[in-house]
Amino acid sequence: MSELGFRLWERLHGHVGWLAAAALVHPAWLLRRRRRRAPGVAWGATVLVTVVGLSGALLYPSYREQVKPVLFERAPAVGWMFERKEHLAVGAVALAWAGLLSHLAVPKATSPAVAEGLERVARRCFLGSAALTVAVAALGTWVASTASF
Amino acid sequence: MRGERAATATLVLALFVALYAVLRVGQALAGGEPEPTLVQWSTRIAYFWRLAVAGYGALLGMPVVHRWVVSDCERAVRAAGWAVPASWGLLVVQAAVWP
Repeated sequence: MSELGFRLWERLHGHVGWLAAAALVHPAWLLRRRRRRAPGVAWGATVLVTVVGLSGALLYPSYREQVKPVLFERAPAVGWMFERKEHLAVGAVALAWAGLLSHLAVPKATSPAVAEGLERVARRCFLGSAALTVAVAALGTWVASTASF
Repeated sequence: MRGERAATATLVLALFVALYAVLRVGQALAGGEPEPTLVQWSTRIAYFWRLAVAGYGALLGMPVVHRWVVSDCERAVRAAGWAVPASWGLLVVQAAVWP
């Protein structure tokens, strides 16, 4: 892929990343109330953060070859921020899926106690995922302002 | 999706996140990592390797987790409620201290 192609992809990845962060705050906020159902919002936010995660994973080998050496030479502290962002992104995607699956299971729970427990799990998952995604998006923007394709 | 399956999936995903963090800490403590400014290309990318090993480990644990969930779903769901913040905290500490 050309340098321009990588640059456009990186910008798109960053913008959709912020969109995913905003989308994940939505179920985290809605599910603070017990017995609140929001399957569409949960699906949308989870799919969005997964797409961004996959996009980042596909960009990573090129980042490692073309950007990482320059970034670590120019600003090692910012280079380590990128590494932090990659770790947090793993948790953001995994917890979004855990939240979605728990939320979808609430109506089919075998007992009220299980349903209540699943509601609590879904709430915590989306809250954790939203916090991680906001951190990932902020760190990504910081890194991109220092070095990019 | 039924409660048992959701609880299993949540616990397995929390296990995956925790395993990922533990693998990274182990890798950082073991040392011998290449100087980032000198790496131009390699067939093995540590990030993907950690994702694959953590995913494999979590999948291996899935039958045991599922058996426990089926035997006592209420308790397993309660445990999932604590496993999620625990794995989140582990990942945040790992990312902060051992990036």
